[in-house]
Amino acid sequence: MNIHLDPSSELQLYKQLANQLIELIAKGKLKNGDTLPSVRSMATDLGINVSTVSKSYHELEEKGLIELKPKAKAIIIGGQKKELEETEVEKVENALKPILAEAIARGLEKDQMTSLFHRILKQWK
Amino acid sequence: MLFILSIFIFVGVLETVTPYLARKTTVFGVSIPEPYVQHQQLLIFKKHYSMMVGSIAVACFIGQILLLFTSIQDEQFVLLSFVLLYVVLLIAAGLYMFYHIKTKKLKKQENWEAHVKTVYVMDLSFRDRDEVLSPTFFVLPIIITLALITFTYMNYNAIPDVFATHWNAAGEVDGRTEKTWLAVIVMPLILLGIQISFFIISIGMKSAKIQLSAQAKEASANRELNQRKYGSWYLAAINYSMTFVLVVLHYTTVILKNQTAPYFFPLFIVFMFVSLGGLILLIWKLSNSNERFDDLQTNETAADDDRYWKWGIVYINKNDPSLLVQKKYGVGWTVNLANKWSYIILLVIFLPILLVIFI
Repeated sequence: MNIHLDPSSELQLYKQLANQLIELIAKGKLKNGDTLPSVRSMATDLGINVSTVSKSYHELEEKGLIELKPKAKAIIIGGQKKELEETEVEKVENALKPILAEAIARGLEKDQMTSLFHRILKQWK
Repeated sequence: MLFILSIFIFVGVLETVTPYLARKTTVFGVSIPEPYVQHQQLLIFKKHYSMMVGSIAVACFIGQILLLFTSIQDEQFVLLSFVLLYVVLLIAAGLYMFYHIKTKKLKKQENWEAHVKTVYVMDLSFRDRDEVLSPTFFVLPIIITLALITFTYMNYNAIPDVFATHWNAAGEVDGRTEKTWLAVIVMPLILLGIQISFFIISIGMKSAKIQLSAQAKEASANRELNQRKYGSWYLAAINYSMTFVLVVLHYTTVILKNQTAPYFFPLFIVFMFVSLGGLILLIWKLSNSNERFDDLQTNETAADDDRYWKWGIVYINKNDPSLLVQKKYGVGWTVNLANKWSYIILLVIFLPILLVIFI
């Protein structure tokens, strides 16, 4: 359950942190009901700004993956199997479309993309 | 005599090996980027320091042994031994500063920071594996002391008008105090102050920053886990043995009115044994779990915190909410001076010394 942030990457730190937490949920390493460290303790251990951690926690909250509770607790609510609402599927579709479109525009074959898709999904549960 | 000499040996050995006890990523209080941990010059610095301090300590020790064969008086010998002890400590501190500056210069000259890639790392499962003793463990001694104070006041009338408050090494009383409402609980009060600061320290230990390295992640996590666990055990051992000794002492003299019980001195020796022996055990445990950087694959390194340290000794970091931080040089913890609670701890630690000087 390692977090590894690279300040020289073009992706902002808060985004990297949010992405890695989401990936841990996808892999099942962070399960529904698990608590994340408080914003302050996460910032202390990583050695980054409190506001950076807070920003990525808020992003996860917006996505409906964690629930921020008083006493600085953050509880994972994503990752469980449930009936997805139509709008959520739509959200994923909308997010995915530009990425796939870019891949096609860059010249990737549809077969390559499907195998790529399966390969990534295999890493997760 | 033997006691003084063994303290001298203990301090001498400790000062000599200190550069090797710290994390490999800090050398003389300077953060070393992970790819440079095996740098030849750093190894030479450490070796030279140890050789110099070691040989001075050995020379002073031989000097003391030789003195034993002359007709020197005991008191003079003890005094001289302490002077030599402080000489060794001062020389070690001076050499530390010398190599601290040299290491800093080397880091700057070769521009290490430009050749490495800083990353921020942490392990989410670390806190679950953390075995630092819970602060509630440090509440029990406080309750015992409060009970002792209450019990003392319940028996206030039975306490003699003058009671013993100081003993010499032979266990004879050489200091007495007149009974007042405050005087009868001075010792429990000092004990209480120390216990409360230990309690605050235990809270600080639990929330202190976890320092992982980017390349030896698992090894550095193990070292951290060990340092936190055994550090808190050591703190608890000192806390409980000190509480035991002082409670027995207070109960015997004030309540039982027995001013020279034969078990006072052995008790004190047991306490010394726990604190010194515990420290040796702690250092042994930690040196066994130091991380290694034998196979470095990348030029990545964990973030450097030099800018928050003065001379590698004093830590002031407003962005770090924690009270305690691991020392950059040697083994143990130091306070974050940007945290206002740190002044309370410092006060409690130095209060008994001030009391001894001014009262």
